[in-house]
This record gives sequence, structure tokens and C-alpha cells, in this order.
Amino acid sequence: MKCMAHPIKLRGRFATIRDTAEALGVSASRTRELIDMVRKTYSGTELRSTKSRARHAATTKKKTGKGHS
Amino acid sequence: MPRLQRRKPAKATRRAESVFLNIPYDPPFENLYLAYIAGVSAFGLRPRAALEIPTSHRRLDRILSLIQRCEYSIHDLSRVELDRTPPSTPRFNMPFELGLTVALEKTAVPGHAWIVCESQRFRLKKSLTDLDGTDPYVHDGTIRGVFRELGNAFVRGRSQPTVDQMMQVYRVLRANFRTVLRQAGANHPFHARVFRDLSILARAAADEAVVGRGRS
Repeated sequence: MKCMAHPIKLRGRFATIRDTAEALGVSASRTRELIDMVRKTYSGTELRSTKSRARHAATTKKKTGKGHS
Repeated sequence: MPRLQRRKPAKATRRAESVFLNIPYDPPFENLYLAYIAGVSAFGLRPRAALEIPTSHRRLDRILSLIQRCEYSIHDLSRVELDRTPPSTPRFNMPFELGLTVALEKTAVPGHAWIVCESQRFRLKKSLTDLDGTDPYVHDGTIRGVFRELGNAFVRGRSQPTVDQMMQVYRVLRANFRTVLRQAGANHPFHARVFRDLSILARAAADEAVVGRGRS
């Protein structure tokens, strides 16, 4: 069995979003909506982490008198 | 006299590849279902599944056709117990589709590569003795276990995703899960439309998590 003994080396290229959408029959407009959802998720995460960093910096400054540069 | 122009050799265009997911479609498996979509997408593969196929008398033909169009397949045989709905029965679809795949690999699609996943070590030796000599990838029934075993089963040179990157893709799926279900008017993710949406979300998330922005 070629599949079990050794790991399978992937030879194809990295599928793009368009490749995946075409294979699954997802329309271009729906694909764009879904990409937007992912972008919003990532920007939300970045926003939260920035806020928490800022909060952490403020707390540290209050406790120690030294802030993060 | 016309100048001879040297033609550049045509650049070999590598195809994007697909993987057939032969996994259980039931609520207790929801996390691992999302994990497989996330993990496979993080490897740059296109997930395909039998649930894309509408229920009809041609279903079996279309499953065969789908497997033939995929370069790889993952067969999760971790749901071997009886279900709760009377009359209690085990699920035969997964082993049946594995059998179809093995037959295709031995005959019509010799290039097809497949793997078997389990949640418990040594159980396959009891549940499917025909596969003696075949080592399943044991994911322990956990999301990280699925990612770990995908990393053991598949190798992709420079773009090999880490477990953390696959987990990042999974988190994006989780963050948008309710929205996708609501938009599809579904109360569980085992619908064709939800599967398609989750696959695109996972692929877009993999662009961010694994290959960096701007590659779509």
C-alpha cells in the first residue's frame, strides 16, 4: 500500500481560493463575502490583541512607573 | 532571413489537488469535521466530501466519480459504535467508501493515495481485519490530534503547516461558524452549502495563516 508506510508527498501546487471555489461550485460573489468574513475575523483579532497590549502596558506603567517603549 | 526565435520551454503547471474526506456526519464529530476541513485547507488541498452530493439514486455513482477526481482520501473510522436512534446500527458508510477507494486505487486510479484515521490505537485490528498491515493515524479524538496526524501523513516542502497554523485556521472557522449556519438556514454543519462555505473560509484563512496575505 503506497499510502501507509511513508508520508504522502504533496506534489500539486497550493490550491488558491479560486481553485477551491471552482471545485466546489461556489459563486465569485459568495467567495468574496466569505473572504471578507475571514479578513474581518483577522482584523478583529488584531484589534483585540492591540487593545490588550495597550491595557497591559498601562497596567505595567501604573505598577512600576515604567512603560513599554 | 527570418530570425529563429528560441521558444522558452513551457513551464510545467502543477495542478491544485483535492482530498476526499470520508468522515462521520454527526454532531459529536462536529469539532473533528471542522478540524479536517481546516487541516486539509492549511495543506493547500481542496476538501471534497460525499455530502456535496445531493441525495438521489445516482449517489453511489457520484461518490465513485468524486473519489476518482481526488488525488488523496482520508478515511476516519473512529465512529464504529452503534448509534442511539432505534434500531441501533453501526455506520457502514465510512468502511464502505474506504473499500470503494481501495478498489479504485487497485484498478482505475492507481495514483490515488489514501490514509485511515482512528481515535483509538489497535481498534482497527479488531474492527477491520482486512486492513491488517495497515497502520492507521491515531488522532485520539482531539482537534490537535487530527492536525498532528495530518502533519504525519502529508508532507509539503516549504509550505508544511504547523499544528498552530492549522489551529489558527480552525479558530477562524469557529469564529464564523454560527454565521455560516444562519446564512444557510441550517442547524448543523453537515449540509452541502455549509461544507462549501466552511471550505472557502478555511482556504482564505490558510492564506493568512500559512502562506501569507495576497495569494488568492
